[in-house]
Amino acid sequence: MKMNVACIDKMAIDRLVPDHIKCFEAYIPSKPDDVLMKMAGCSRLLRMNNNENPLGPPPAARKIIETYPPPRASVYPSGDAYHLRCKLADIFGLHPEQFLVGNGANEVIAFVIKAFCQEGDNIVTADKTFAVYEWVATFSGFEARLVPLKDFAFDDAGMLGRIDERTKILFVCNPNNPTGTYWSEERLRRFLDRVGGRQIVVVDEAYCEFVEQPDFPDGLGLIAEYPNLVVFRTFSKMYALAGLRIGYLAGDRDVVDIIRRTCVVYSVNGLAQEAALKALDDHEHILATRALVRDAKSMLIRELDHLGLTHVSGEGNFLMVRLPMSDTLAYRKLMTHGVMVRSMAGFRFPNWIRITVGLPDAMQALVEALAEMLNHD
Amino acid sequence: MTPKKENRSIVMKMPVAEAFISLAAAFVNQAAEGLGLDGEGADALSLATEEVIAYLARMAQAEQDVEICCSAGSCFIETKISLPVRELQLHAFNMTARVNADDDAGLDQMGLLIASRMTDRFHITRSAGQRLVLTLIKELPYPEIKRDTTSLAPIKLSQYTLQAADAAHIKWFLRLVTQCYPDALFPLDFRYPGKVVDMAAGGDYHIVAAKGPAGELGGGIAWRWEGRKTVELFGPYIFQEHGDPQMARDLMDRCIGHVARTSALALINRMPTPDLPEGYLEALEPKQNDISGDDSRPARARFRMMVEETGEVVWAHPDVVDFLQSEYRRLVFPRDIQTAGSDGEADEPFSVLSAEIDRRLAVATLRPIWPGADNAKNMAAHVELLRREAMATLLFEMDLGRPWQAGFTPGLIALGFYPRMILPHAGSADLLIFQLRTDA
Repeated sequence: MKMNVACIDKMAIDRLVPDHIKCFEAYIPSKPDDVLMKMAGCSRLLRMNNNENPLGPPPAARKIIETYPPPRASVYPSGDAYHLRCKLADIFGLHPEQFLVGNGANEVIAFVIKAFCQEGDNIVTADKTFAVYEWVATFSGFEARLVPLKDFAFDDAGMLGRIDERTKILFVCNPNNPTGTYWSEERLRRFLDRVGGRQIVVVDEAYCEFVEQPDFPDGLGLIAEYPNLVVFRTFSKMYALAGLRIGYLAGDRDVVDIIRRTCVVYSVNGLAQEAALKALDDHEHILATRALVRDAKSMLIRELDHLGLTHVSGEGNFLMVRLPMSDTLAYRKLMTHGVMVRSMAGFRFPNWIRITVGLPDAMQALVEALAEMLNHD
Repeated sequence: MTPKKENRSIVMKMPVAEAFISLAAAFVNQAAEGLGLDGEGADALSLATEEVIAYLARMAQAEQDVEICCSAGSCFIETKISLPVRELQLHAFNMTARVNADDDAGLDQMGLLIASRMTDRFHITRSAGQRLVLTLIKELPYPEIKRDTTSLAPIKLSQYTLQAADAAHIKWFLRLVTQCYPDALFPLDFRYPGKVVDMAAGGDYHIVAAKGPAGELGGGIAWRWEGRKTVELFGPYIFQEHGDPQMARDLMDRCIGHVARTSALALINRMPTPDLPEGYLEALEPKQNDISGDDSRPARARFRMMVEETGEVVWAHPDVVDFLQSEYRRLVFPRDIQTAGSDGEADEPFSVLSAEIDRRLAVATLRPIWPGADNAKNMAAHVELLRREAMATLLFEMDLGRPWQAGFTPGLIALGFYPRMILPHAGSADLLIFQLRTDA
């Protein structure tokens, strides 16, 4: 049999691609651990790059994962995470229709932008924060207006100053990843008051469960007063279900109804829904994780001070360290010790790394690798 | 996340036949003029296209289509000819090519020789199962910077803000750079302010200036895209007499912040100034390549990765594997080095090299365009010609992502080239830069 090899006419394909996609580059995620270990020549890999919870999922969620019946894999899950939304509604005193569950919080970011933005619109956020707000806006063809952080925190006045008649959404990461700074309830209310309902305000609370400060706002509790407020939360961080990809948003029913029109149903698998449902019951897990983070942070800060390194440590299970060298070089050097951190050039913090705080052995290995790296530099 | 603005393009598809040669020439002529090239330049590009199409018409076995795309870059017009063949004898594109007018093959190559000399640059790309694309480039003409007046360098600025430079500030910035810094610390483009202004407007150059409260220009930094994965940085330039380390750090932060979240994998600085702050960039060359005590020569080339390096495969001839292993170890780069080279398989007869010449610095850079059995002879001819042209530094860029380029290694080494440094991600994978030894 003869085969015809179809030749792709590259110039013809190029003409099909919208300009904003031509200008955008695909995000390249990390390679899998086994490939990274082989490339770096290390026999172990201590992951301190993605702010994962080293304690793993809460016991009840773990049991769901361990006992999940294989035949269930052949059946479609609830298309809109029905039981999980009901549970969230019970816990937070809202209506199930006020929640939308997504394949990780990244997916719900896309839902919101798709729901409210059209050609010529813009979003406003910070320059040095979680990159996905900026990315999704840009590859969707919308302008991302980036306001510099002020003292490592979101600059409320600066953000308000960038609003114009085409601004649809303001994204605030609270606490901010990677700096750990946060807006108090008073500051968030003041901001929402000044926005006056003219734009959607998204408050990303991916790390809220780690925060123990009494003035930290509960975004979900403010939705009744501010119908333009949309809150993101995730099961990836505190609840350690990152591998199952599940997160959610909450907002006013009318607002969520609009967002739901853009959302992909059946995008969240059944195992993730059931594990998340059980995870929500486990308050002990939160307390244990907070204690781990508290102790590990204080040990790490002591050691970083000892090494003479500047650091920024706020809320959340991470902290940032300034190095006397390129952060991407530090990443490569630490990888040879099996220590994987997040280099911060991509967050526009050159020469800083972000470290996920975790188990004592991992922290000790990190400190030793840092000390050796600095001694040899 | 754009490296640069998209070019304006005009496209025509036509059969490769003698009857349509003049149509191709007329199309390119009018398109190039419409896109901003002057009459002389448009005539040259048109003639080059005519010769290529005529050559194709003579070579074509059956009637096939050719696509011609004329595009405006920020400072050039290019014609891309998408060829319906996988192989062509293009050795006339070598700057050393001579044609024998006594035989038919020689006459066939004559047209290509004319085409290559009518253009300022060219490149050829091909990939398995796809068409071959020949790109002919004609630069727009620009006047050189006037150096008969001097601009006053400002005193130390206690306050400054960083701003993307507009056309007037770009020209002011270039006057100060060319006045305050030796030639080796800025690119040739900086001598052509109009070109840099056009390139900045097209997104090819980015220039950020540090401006004082009264509008004084205290310093600046420039960067430009080299392909989609690499950004080349120039500076930072600080015009005050004793420098300003904080301003230099702020300029570096601004540049890195701008390049972050784009497609750039690496930031390269081949001409680091004394103002470059410590800790931002890594040394690209081994220490023995350090040139000390001569302020007019650039220090060791520097770079930084913009992303977390996770490794890749590179292809190299066995003769350079030791160098690569040692350098990758020093740079802490995970690389899987696969050997490549000839195992006696049939080669195409003629290789093609491109040459980029910077007469100001007496530097010539050779790049392999096409492999061929004559590569050693072809390189030797290029070296001889470039020496006659008084080029003091001869470089050869080998793309370690393209296994066929490894075939040039034995010829290079025999001529006295040595591997000097690796430019990470500067090609389809890393680039290995060879330099001709001065005693060779």
